[in-house]
Parts: sequence; C-alpha cells; structure tokens
Amino acid sequence: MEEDKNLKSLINFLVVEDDEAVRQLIVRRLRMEDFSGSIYEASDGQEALKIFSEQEIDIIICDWRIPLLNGIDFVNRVRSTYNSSKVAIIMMSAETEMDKIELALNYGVDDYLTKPFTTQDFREKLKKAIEKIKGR
Amino acid sequence: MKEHTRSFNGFIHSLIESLPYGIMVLDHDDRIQELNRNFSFIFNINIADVKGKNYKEVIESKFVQVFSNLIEDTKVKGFVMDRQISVPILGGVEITIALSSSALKDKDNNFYGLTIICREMTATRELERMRELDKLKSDFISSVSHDLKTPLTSIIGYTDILMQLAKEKSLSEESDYLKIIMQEAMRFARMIDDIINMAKIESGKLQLKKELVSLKEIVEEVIKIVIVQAEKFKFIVNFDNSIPLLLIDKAQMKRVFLNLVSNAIKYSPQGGEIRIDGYTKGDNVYVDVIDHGIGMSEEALSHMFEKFYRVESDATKGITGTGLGLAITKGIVEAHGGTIVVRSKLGEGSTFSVIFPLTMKKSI
Ligand SMILES: Nc1ncnc2c1ncn2[C@@H]1O[C@H](COP(=O)(O)OP(=O)(O)O)[C@@H](O)[C@H]1O
Ligand SMILES: [Mg+2]
Repeated sequence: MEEDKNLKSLINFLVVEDDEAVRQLIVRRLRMEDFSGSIYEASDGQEALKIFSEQEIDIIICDWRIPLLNGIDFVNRVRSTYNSSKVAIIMMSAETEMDKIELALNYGVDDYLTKPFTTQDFREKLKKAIEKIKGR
Repeated sequence: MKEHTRSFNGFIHSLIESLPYGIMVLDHDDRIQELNRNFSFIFNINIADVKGKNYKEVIESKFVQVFSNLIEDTKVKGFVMDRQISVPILGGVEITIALSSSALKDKDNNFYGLTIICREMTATRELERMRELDKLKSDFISSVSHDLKTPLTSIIGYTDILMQLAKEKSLSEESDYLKIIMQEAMRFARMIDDIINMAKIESGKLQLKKELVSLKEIVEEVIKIVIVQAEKFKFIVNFDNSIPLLLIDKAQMKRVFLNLVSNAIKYSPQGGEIRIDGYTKGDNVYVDVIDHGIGMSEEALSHMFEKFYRVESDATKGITGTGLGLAITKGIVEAHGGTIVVRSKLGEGSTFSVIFPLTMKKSI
C-alpha cells in the first residue's frame, strides 16, 4: 500500500485533449485516484509533442481527434522519434470500429478507451498502463 | 396489295405513337417524315402539319444547334448513343433527355434519312441523386453521433465524480438523483450507438469480421450480461450438438442476441421463462428466442423490423426504447446471409427465429 502510494507520486502524465471539460475531467480523476506526480496538459498535437520532448512522461492519455497533429500521428512521432518504448499510451476516441482500434494499436498505442467511459473503464485502463511501466 | 401497304404503314405509325419515347424520323434533306406525340410533348411542338417541313422550322431555336450537331455526327458515324441534354418543361422544372440517333441506309449503303429517339433520364438521375443524398445523410448522422459522445463523456464523468462525493458525504437523496442522471446518460449513449450502427447498416458500411464461432457460446455470454438485472426470469438455453461452428462476426452477433433477449425481458413485465433453442432443420441452423410476454398484434408484426417503429399500447406504456433494435438486428443477420422471422400472439408471447444457412460453416 505504502509502496503503491510512493509509485503514484512518481508517475508523470501527459493528457492530450482539446475538449476542455474532458481534459479537466481526466486531470481531476487522476488526482482523485491519488496520483500526485506531475500532470501536463496539451490541447493539440504540436503542443503535446513539445511537452513530451521536454519532460519526463510515463503515461500519455491522448484523444484521437485533436488539432494540428491528430492522435495517431502524434503517437507515431512519439514512438518513432523518441526512445519511448517504456511509455504507456492510452488512446481515447468515440470510434468503436474494430478497424480503427486495430490501426491505433498498430501505431504503438498500448490501450484504447472508448468515449464515453465510466470511472471503472478508466481505472481498468490505468491499471494496465501502470503494470506496463512497473515492469520496466 | 395496296390494302396491305396501307395497313402496314398504319401499324408502323401506331407503333411509333405508342412507344414511351419521343421519336422523329427525317429524310435525307432533314425533312420530317414522322414525329410522334411524345416528341412533341418533350420539345413543345405543335404536331399539326409538321410533316415534310425541315426540322429547323419546327424545333425551338434554342435546340436547333443540339439537333444539327446530332444529325451531322450521325451522318458521319452512322449512329449516336445517349447524348444527354436538359430540357425545361412547365413550371421551370428541368428534365434530362438522352438523345440517340441512327442513320437509315439502303442496300447500296446510300443515306436516305435518320431516326432520332429521346428517352427521359430524369427517373434514373433522380435515383442516383437519392442514393447520393442517402449516403450524405448516413455520413452526417455518423459524424454528428460521434460529436455527441464528447459532451456525453463529460456528463458521465462528472456525474461519476459527484456520485462519489455524495457518497462520501452520505447525501442519500442527491445520490439517488445522480444515479438517475447516470442511468439516463448511459441510455443516451446506447441510443447514439444504435443510430451509428443503423447508419452503417444503411450505407452498407457494416464490415463483418468473420471467424468460426459457436452460436451457443454467444448466447451464453449474452445471458451472462442480462441475468444480473433479470431476477424475475428463468433462462433456458438448449442447443443441439449437431450445430456446427459458423463463420460469424462475433461482436455483431452478440448484439443480435443481446437485442432479442433484452426485448424478451423488456416486453415480459411479469417475468417468467425465456427459452433459447438452437437446432438444425434441413439446410439451416435455427436459434429461437421464446418469451411469454405481452406479444404483438398482426398489425405490429408487419412493422416490427422497420426503424423507429414501436408499439404504443397500454401494455408497452413506460417501456423505453428507440425502435432501432430490431432494424439493426435484421440488418446484421441479413449481412451474414441469414434471415429473421417472428411469430407472436397478443398476450401470449413471441418467438423470434434467427436462421442461418449451414453453408456458413465453411468459407466460400
Ligand atoms: N419480444 C417482444 N415482445 C413483444 N413486443 C416486442 C418484442 N420485441 C419487440 N417488440 C415490439 O417491437 C418494437 C420494436 O422493437 P425494437 O426495434 O427492439 O425497439 P425498442 O425495443 O427500442 O422499442 C418494440 O417497441 C415493441 O413494441
Ligand atoms: Mg429493443
């Protein structure tokens, strides 16, 4: 438990979402789940890329449809340009089409969160992401 | 002999008059030999004594160029197929006409005239346009529905947070209301999914990911989902071992049986037994979903699978839905090459049979 709390303070997040309300929701959720590390916010793909290049990020939660650089292109850049294999990436989208989800996974997305989601959905995806970065 | 010729000419003349096309026959000097009533309607020509006149004296000046080009081309090439022009008719409405023309030549290959046939294309064009519109509509619905999911993410997410806060503060009345907001938001989410699916089915965009699947397993998974909220019901699943694995899109087929079983529950307010029987008969696999609920009238049966159709009666009062479930169900079953039929009696219950050909077990 203590170790868990410790871990939760060490994880840095990058939340990429252009819808303000949803972005705030995710930040709020993370805080409620006792993640006390840094949470960086970006509302477009370029900004996200800039933050990612400057900060130590462990988990990215990213929307698919964002301005300037869409979610898939952003993930593609993160995976191909940086040594980011240890970073966990969760992609969010309203898309439920299997083709699109597979496409996202092929580009190096670790998990996929369908909008709208419940707290329970969110927690499950988060748990898997943490397992990934724990194993490194 | 003379008698004979006259009756033959009469036959040709009446044939030309009764065809559903506009027809004009010209001689080698562009003089009108025949011009039927349909032709005169389309080009607004007074049919009285046009015979023997040059077509240029008869046809409205704005069409003369079109016809002279057509005639020149026909003289060179021997024929012209489906050249399209727009013709204004009464009330400013335009119709599309396809002009075809072919040269008349005697046995020594000498040109002695030509026939021009006008066919109205508007109906065909209209159909194409309607198809385009339909696709636009589906794309529009699909994109709007996706956009609705973003605000819904906030509504569901923040309601969740409020529910947690209310619980921490033991606010029971607030908790109750928030629970209702949550349920309704989830219902809204399902409605959006229904609309997106319906649009996909209608535009032929439903892509099936087929694999060999056990129908029984699908049904059992569906029961597992619904059983938590169906204490009043007893589920009996009875599948023959003779049913082979079928090539099916598992996720879509789950939706099919989820819809049918949810309906069986929804429209059996007293609870009771819901049977799902799987068996083979002839060259087909059957899965019957049988309930003993409110049933349907003959009238309702004939509309059931139409989108947005819902029975409105005392028995269905207070039961919510979109009327899309069965339309989607049918669309998915048919996309797999199957059919769905229903038998029902008012007040006694309903049986929905999903039928697949046994050929679906091997890939073709
Ligand atoms: N098992 C059933 N028993 C009685 N009526 C049914 C049953 N299934 C469907 N219906 C009727 O058919 C209508 C259309 O069904 P459906 O397309 O699933 O829409 P919805 O359930 O959202 O109303 C329902 O509104 C209901 O009146
Ligand atoms: Mg239904």
